Amino acid sequence: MATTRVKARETDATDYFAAKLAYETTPSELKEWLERTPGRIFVVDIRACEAYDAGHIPGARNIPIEDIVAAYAALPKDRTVVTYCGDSACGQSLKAALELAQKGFRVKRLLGGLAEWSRRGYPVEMTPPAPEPEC
Amino acid sequence: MDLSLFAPKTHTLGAAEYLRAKLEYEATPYGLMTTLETEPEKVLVLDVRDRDAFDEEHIRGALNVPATEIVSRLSGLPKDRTVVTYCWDMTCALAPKAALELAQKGFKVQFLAGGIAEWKHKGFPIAKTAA
Repeated sequence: MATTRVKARETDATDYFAAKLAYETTPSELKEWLERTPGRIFVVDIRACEAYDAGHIPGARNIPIEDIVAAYAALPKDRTVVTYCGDSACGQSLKAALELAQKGFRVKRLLGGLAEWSRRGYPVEMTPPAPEPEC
Repeated sequence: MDLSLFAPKTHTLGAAEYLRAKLEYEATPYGLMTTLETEPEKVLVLDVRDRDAFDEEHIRGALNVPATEIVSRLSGLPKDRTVVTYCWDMTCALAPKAALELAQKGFKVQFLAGGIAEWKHKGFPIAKTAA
């Protein structure tokens, strides 16, 4: 558990908070960015296909975390890839973001996952029933 | 909103560096509560939400400086204490943004992980501004 320390070094704090703001995003930031410049962002839902079908951020691509490595070629390097999973207790979006960052993608992780997104009343899309599974 | 935060960044922190820094610069509710009980003179708790939210409820002993006023009120903040910023909850970026601004100005900073939501969830003391 972290404790409140008092011997902080300013330069490190600057690096840390800059990195935090650079690599994590909030539901409101993501929503605004999707509305303003959707072409600069690529949202990836890393949950299982069934969870994605039941509800996901509109426009998000479903790539279950176990398939991330196989999906590298399909992901854009000229956009920021935003990963998310179920909620704040889910660490999978962090793992996926790390995998992608190590492969040279620009990444961010959505804080709070779909739970915090939907709790704010932001749009959630369901996959319509189809003869063939979509994901 | 500052959408430039979505621009590509050139700096990188390695995983070990990032995690070490996370432990150093993020206070947990328990960690902050312990410090407030044992060494209250070492910290200043800073609520960066708007005034109405602060008046409604805030961490006991916190000072309110809304995020939009941080820059103009730097002179009122101590450099000999760690300034611990907080906002609503884990998805609120106001507190880390304020912490970054303060760090860039030479303040010792932390931010409270989970904001006032997690603080209340743990049953730690809050206060209202007297009418």
